[in-house]
Amino acid sequence: MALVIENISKKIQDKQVLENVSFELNQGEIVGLVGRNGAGKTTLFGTIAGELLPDFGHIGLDDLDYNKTTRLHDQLCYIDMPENWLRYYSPKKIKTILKVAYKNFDESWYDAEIKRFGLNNIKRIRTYSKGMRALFAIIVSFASRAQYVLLDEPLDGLDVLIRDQVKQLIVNQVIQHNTTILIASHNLIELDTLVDRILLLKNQTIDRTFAIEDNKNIKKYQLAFTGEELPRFLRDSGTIIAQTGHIVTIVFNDFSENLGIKLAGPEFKFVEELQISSEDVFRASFAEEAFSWQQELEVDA
Amino acid sequence: MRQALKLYTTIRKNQFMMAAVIGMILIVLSVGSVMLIPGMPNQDIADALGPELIVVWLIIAVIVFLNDQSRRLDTWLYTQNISRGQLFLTRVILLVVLPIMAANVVDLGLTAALQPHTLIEALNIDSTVSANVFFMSSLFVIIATIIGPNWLKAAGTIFTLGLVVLAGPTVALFFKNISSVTSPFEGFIQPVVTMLAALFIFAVGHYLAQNISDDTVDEAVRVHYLKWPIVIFVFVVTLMKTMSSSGRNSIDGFLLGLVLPIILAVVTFIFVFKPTFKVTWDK
Repeated sequence: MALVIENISKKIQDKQVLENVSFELNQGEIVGLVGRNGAGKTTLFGTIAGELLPDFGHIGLDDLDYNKTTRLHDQLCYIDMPENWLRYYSPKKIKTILKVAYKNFDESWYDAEIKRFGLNNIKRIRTYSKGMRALFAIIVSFASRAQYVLLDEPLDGLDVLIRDQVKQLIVNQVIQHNTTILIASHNLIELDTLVDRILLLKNQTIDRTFAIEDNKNIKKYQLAFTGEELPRFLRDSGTIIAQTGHIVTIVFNDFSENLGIKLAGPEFKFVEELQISSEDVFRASFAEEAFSWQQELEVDA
Repeated sequence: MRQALKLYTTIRKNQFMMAAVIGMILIVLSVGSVMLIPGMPNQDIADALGPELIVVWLIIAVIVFLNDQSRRLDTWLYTQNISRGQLFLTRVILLVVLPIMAANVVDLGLTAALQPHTLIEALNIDSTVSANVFFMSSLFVIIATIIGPNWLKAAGTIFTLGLVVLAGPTVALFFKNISSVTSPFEGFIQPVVTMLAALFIFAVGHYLAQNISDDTVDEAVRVHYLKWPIVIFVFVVTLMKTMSSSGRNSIDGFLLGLVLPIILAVVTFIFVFKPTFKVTWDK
């Protein structure tokens, strides 16, 4: 069983937001969705969940058209953040609604988690802090016992202690219920600790799917150059993450043997390969934009 | 469909209970005045209670309907195991048909119990009022379906219902002509035709509701291919109204009659298409 997203395209107010987006979510997977601000992550979530109608494309679940087969809709849960209907109701009232909406709604688990996190059962959600609202949305999503859960910035606004508990909640949900979770986030460091693979949304489509261990071509180096100026080939073939004097941290999107030979040359006093993270892959994927910004900054300076 | 009705009723349980309590208060006041102050003018249940209940309940229904959008409940309901068409029908049943039916049942029941001699009169009044209210509700529902922002829904409804009121004498003449041909059914022909017209409008609304995406919620006209027809509709109906006034035979009168339609059409165009004008002195 898999949720199959096929060639989804969507225009909003005559602007192409998604174009031929295709990917699959398999059972029991945690998948990250990353992209720059305004890349279309929330639009993609809204389109998968059924809030928005795609202009083109198909979403399939169990070999059926998900959008047209409404009985499948309690197999997917998405609560859009931060504005949503939950704000106007108390957890108690929300429970009565969700019991009708989701046939597998886990009432006892919902009550237990509300109690565990000390959420007020009678107060309306809008009186909660930003972090508590985000936490409540996660509890609702998991209590639905939907097979597929879409979380938009789930760790946003949570303090470190609650964040750890929520991450544990996410992992438990997958282990105990084999739920598939798609997480959109800008917090790539947190994603690295949670997800099996990451989808990168760029130029209105899924530009790349990666798992850190699979990206042999992306490499990160810290190096010290000898001359007065940074060697030209570094800027042309990599993204500079940090530079302090002659010491540079750089990510190469497509590392080749040729580059390795150049780095071993006399232009460098010191070269060390560092461990790559999703954040580095993200930077490498947007190397062109990052380079043009760097140039602008240098001109301004 | 059962799931849609069950889910919507659960969400709006408090509002339905409030409507029931307000209805009960109105019933008690109406029946109380009949029993305690006999002979008071305008106190026939047949004349007052049914229409009053319908109006009060429909006002609550309109607030609930608009509230669904402003609270983003619509957005979530689109993701549920009910289709957009089922959601539309659920709202029509619970927020339009149910209040009208309930008001009629209460009105006719109380009339039969307390003033049985006015039962036929009550039946006539209720059927006409119900048909007219059902028709007006269909106009509101289709306008609310097509138009995005809540304040524009209200403006569009006021404009359209204003037109319906202005067209009232012409419509009355039309029904009078029909009734002269079908005199035995005089009392029923108008409600039946009105109901059929309303059902047709609801059917169009149902079709449109199935194709409306949540990303158009802030757009004046949510259905792309209806943008120009709506601008043209505003121009044509306003023109028909202004040109039907006296003094439009002269050129001056004709030109004067064009002013309001052009202004309203331009305003509608701006809201619908949101054109951007670049004002700059740069070369």
